[in-house]
Amino acid sequence: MLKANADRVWTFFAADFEPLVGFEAKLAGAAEAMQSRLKAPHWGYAPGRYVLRDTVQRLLAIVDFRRVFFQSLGLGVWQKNLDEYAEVIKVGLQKLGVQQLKRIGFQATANLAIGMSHKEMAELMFGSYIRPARELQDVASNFDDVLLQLYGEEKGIKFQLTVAPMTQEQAVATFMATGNLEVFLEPKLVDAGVKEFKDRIATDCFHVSLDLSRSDVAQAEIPIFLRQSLDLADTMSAAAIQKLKSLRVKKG
Amino acid sequence: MPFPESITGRSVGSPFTGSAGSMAVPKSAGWCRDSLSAEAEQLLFAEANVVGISVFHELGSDLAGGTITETRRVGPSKRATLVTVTSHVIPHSAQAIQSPEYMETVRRRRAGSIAEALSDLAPHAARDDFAVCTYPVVKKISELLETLINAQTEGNTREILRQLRNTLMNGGWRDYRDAKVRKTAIAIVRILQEAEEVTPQQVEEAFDQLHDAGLNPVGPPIFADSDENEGADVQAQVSG
Repeated sequence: MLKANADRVWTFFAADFEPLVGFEAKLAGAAEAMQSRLKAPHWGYAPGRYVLRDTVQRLLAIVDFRRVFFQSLGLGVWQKNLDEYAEVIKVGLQKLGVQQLKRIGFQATANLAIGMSHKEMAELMFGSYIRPARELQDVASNFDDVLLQLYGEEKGIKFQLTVAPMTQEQAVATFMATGNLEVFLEPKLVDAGVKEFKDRIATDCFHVSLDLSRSDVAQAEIPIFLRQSLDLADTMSAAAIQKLKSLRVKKG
Repeated sequence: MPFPESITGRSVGSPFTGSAGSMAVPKSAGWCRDSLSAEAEQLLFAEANVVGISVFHELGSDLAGGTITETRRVGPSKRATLVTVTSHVIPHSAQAIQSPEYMETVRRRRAGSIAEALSDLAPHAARDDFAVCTYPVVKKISELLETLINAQTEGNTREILRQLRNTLMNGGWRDYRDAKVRKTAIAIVRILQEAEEVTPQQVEEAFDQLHDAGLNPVGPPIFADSDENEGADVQAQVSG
């Protein structure tokens, strides 16, 4: 589902490791190696942190003393370049001298237009994800909206699934609350990439966010994790919508 | 008729008349309705002509905008005329709009409930008053038909539901004592429960299956003496 709606998805990837004492000596080398592979034309430096910006692909890479972080507008860049980005992460971590990671995480968030109004989706949340509204009358007589978070583990990956019907205003506000959006733009005064993305998702939609993670993993496992995460985000988001629509969920 | 002196002589409700009382009261202030005291307003409109105007804004299902213009003559009067304009917004038609995706979902959900009701008939099949047991099935079918009545894309669903309902009418419920008949009906309802879209071919297949099971999906002949008066999609009361 997310793969088919790649231009309505925004993503984060983070590889967290123990803070490094000698990070200052290694950080520039790591950033340089990453930029060389990423071919990101723009970069920046803030104390203790390098930011690499591929504004054409709408991708950011940030490296600091305890984390390698990627952020993208759209899922397409991951679909096209997953192996390449996995290599960039590997190179960066090797330069930093990191083998073992405390946590790796991939988060994909999407505002998906599924042909229903917010009111309809909110109504269908009852009886699909939670008890029918009539059975909750002792709590309150009227319900307007639902936000649901589910935590668990699927195929060895911990997940936090958030589903919510959203109005146009909620969809825009959720997206605009994302950090670093201005960093995707170059030149900043004329690049309308973020506005175009915002306009694309500005509709009543079903919000799906999947935060997938593993703890205590070797650096070498990152490519597998990324591939699994992409597939899992796709299948779980599809299942989440099928559940709302009372369609039989076919598990792979 | 001039206003009574008792009103004009007072500086009614004016912020200019504080305890100091030194500020001049503008003449117009006394005539501003917002600044009239309750007592003055009562006197002013005690015997006023009263005209009520209701404007109804009914939101159509096409959500098209429009303008309502209505002209009423208010005759000359020595007394004040109180005109009350009440605007009524009637959203029922607009609220009835439901997206095809929503209607599909409602159909799948409710069809599951009908299938359960059909399954629940099994332990009661031998009862003398079996007709009573089939009532929930008929009721659920009728309710779903009523819900889908305005759906633009659920015509095939409605047709299958009508076929099913017809099989229960005019004593057709007796056939549902047979497990094979129930199984056939449940299989058809499962299609409504699981399909993303119900096709005309599925309507024909449902008809054939019901017919082959010895049921009457057509319903009573139109020349039969019956109290049931059904429009195209209107659900009349269904007798056992």
